[in-house]
Amino acid sequence: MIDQQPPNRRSRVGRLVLIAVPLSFLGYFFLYPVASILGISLFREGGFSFSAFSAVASRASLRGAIWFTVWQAVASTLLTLVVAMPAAYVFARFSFPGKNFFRAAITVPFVLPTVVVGAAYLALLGPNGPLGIDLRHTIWAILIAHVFYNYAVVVRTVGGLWAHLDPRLEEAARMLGASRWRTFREVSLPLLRPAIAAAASIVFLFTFTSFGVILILGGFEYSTIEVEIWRQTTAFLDLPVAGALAVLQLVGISSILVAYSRYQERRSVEQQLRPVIEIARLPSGWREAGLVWGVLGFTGLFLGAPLAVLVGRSLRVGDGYGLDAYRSLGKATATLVPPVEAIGNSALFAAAAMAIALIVGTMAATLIAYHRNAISRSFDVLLMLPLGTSAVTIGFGFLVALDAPIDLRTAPILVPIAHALVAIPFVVRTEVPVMRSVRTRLREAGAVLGAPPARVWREIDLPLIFRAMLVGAGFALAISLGEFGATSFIARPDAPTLPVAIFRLLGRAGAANFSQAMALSTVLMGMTAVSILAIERFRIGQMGEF
Amino acid sequence: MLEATDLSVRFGDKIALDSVNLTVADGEVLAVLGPSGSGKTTLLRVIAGLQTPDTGSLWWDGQSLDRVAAHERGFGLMFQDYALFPHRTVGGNVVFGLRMAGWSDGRIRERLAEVLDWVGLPGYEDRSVGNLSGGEQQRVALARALAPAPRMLMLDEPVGSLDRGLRERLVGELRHLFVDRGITTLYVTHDQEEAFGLADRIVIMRDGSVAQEGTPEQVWRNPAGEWVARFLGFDNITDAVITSGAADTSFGRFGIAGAASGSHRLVIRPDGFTVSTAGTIRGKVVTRSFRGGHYHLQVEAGAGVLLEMEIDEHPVPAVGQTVMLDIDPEAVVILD
Repeated sequence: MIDQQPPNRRSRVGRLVLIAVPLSFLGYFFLYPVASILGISLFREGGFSFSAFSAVASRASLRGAIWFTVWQAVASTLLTLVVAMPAAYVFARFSFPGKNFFRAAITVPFVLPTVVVGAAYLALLGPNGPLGIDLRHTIWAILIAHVFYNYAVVVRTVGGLWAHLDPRLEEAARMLGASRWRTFREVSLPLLRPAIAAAASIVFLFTFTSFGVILILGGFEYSTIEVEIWRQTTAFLDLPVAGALAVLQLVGISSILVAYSRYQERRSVEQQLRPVIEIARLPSGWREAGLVWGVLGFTGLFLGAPLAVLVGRSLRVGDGYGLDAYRSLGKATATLVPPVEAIGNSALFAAAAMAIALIVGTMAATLIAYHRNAISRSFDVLLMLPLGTSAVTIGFGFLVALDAPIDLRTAPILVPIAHALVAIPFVVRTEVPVMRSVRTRLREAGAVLGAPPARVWREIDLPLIFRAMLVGAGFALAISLGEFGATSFIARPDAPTLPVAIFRLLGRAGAANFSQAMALSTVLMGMTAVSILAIERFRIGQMGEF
Repeated sequence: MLEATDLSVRFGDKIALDSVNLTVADGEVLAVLGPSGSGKTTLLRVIAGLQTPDTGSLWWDGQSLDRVAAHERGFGLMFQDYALFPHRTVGGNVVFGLRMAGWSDGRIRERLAEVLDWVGLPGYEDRSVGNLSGGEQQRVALARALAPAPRMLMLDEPVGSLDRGLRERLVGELRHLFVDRGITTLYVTHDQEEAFGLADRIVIMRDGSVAQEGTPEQVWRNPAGEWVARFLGFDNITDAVITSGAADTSFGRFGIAGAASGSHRLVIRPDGFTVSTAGTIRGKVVTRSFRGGHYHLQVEAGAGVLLEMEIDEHPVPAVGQTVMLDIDPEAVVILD
């Protein structure tokens, strides 16, 4: 039931502000830079020209990068779905001791900075790794890192829906003579399709724009479009070709995003904030127990090993262990500021990014959730664009666009703004479903009990949304701490963030540098984990869409 | 006293309410009874002020409510699914209306204890509403609606989602609560037993209009038309020719009360049959089922006519047995 209240001036002004602030923010810091990229790739010496695109087409290395980007994303997505599906089932259908802890723990890799994941796999699969195999610069290291990274997406998205499926549907199929496998194929799988499609879209998008992992693990052998944009800009200073690559990537992403957004719209029914009826049960019999503990064991080993090795390497001193690497973080090296300063920079930038993302994101979420019409729907898609627009494109766009009217390119505030751009879609996606799920009935109950509209918002909407805002804040912090793609373009050399500092250290020879990189990665991992713990603490059930 | 005149609501092409007139007297318990989709919930929402009617007016003690917003009407509403605030405790839910009305903390505390006592949940103040059973949630919702002493209490299928035993007990408790405290009540339900058990007066709704209005006894004895009769579960409906105080039907002739004559539709209430050798209707028992206080029989009489009846005296005829039936003239109602 839509409230048919006569529009008064206050609500009209309010709505105008809700549109104007996010729109000008996105306009100046997102659309304008993207338009500038388009301009740089399509216009040369004042005239329209396709030369940048033909340059891309004519170079085998660039064609190869485009092809590699697509196929590794497809392979990563399929592999992630297959590897993570058993865990999605186990988390949806069984209860076991420590389940909440496990569920929180598997989310950690998803929000870990790409640089940390790259560093961890360098430690695990590199020379001197505990496995004794060197998978650096192979496709396997990349695929494994991508599965590691996106495991939680599948477990949470698919498992989230699976937990809501009435198990009696599956039981009914079994009673009608379907085998376990037939039941999965003909009952569970079709019902899970929306979640599988959503998870696949997310994983595909993330791996399609993979940057840090490829840069660190792929070496010169493998590069995605994302890596090529960075390389063309920073190494070859070929901005038109970098622009053309960014445009091609945007086109690819947009088509996936449109499909994804359609799914979201169809799935968004008014849900209730009541606790989900717990259908999970303890495993019974050795078969189920074996399945549950087998899957959990694999999950723990698969997700835990790289991080354990990372921490282990940061503590290794010669043949023994110690805190030498951490102690050395305070010392300046020839070309770097003391690595410890990066910690302060990152913390400061993260706080600023969180504030910006919360303010702009909450305004946008309010508009999308409460005014369901064509404008708010297109706004929804617009807001999702920065998520799909790779971080590198955002950084690249800042570089080519923000020199006029005032040259912002070296302003420190640019870093948190870029981070906020990436975080805003997460804030919006976390808040909108909660805002929508505040049932009309509750507002009506408030009104019948004598609360005027403003009081209803304060007493009923706000407390329910507040937790979502905290979750959004946690996401913003984690994203800002780990952001690498955009930051690699705009961070000033004398003010590196943690990921930038780690990447620089990894690029330098010498065991001391490697140990320092491991130590900084461990610190970054710890800071990110704190943000995630905050998210888990305030999340209500399966609230939000990430 | 609440008066509603000519209330109509349309949703697109669908007419949800079609010029409904209604009054609720002070202290009266009025049940609005109807199948789902008959417009009873819409009627409730219009009276609550949550839905603006397309036509019609509402009055309270002669004062128009048309420009009074929902939060200013002073009515209590208990929602069908309770709509308890998930972020507040039991106490937080119950005192919400009191806080809105600006009660002092001391009075709020007293009142909270008082209404929780009424609904049988003393000491539940600090419980989370998420962990309550269905019956407890129902009681909290009731306490929340009652706490601000609304001038009228409205309940939308308040016991609809509870199991049968609990439902029957709660209906009895509700009736006590309303009558003892003289609370003016508008009670919406699709369950006729609930309505008959609770209400001083019943309004039966069909497709957005009032189909019948009256005391439970009036409605039960004289259903207004075939639709109401069938809705109340009376399936013995037949054509008859009435001459000199008796009805001729395809399955026999029997006496009726009243002075009508000519062709009519009749309903015979299921409680109007007795098995008797002096009976005038011959039939064969097709099914027999025990219903606690009585037996429910289906008797085939005449050419394929199935009569439904409730028999409580012994011996109860067995399936396949041929019986003679007598019909109480008072149990026969002329429908047109």
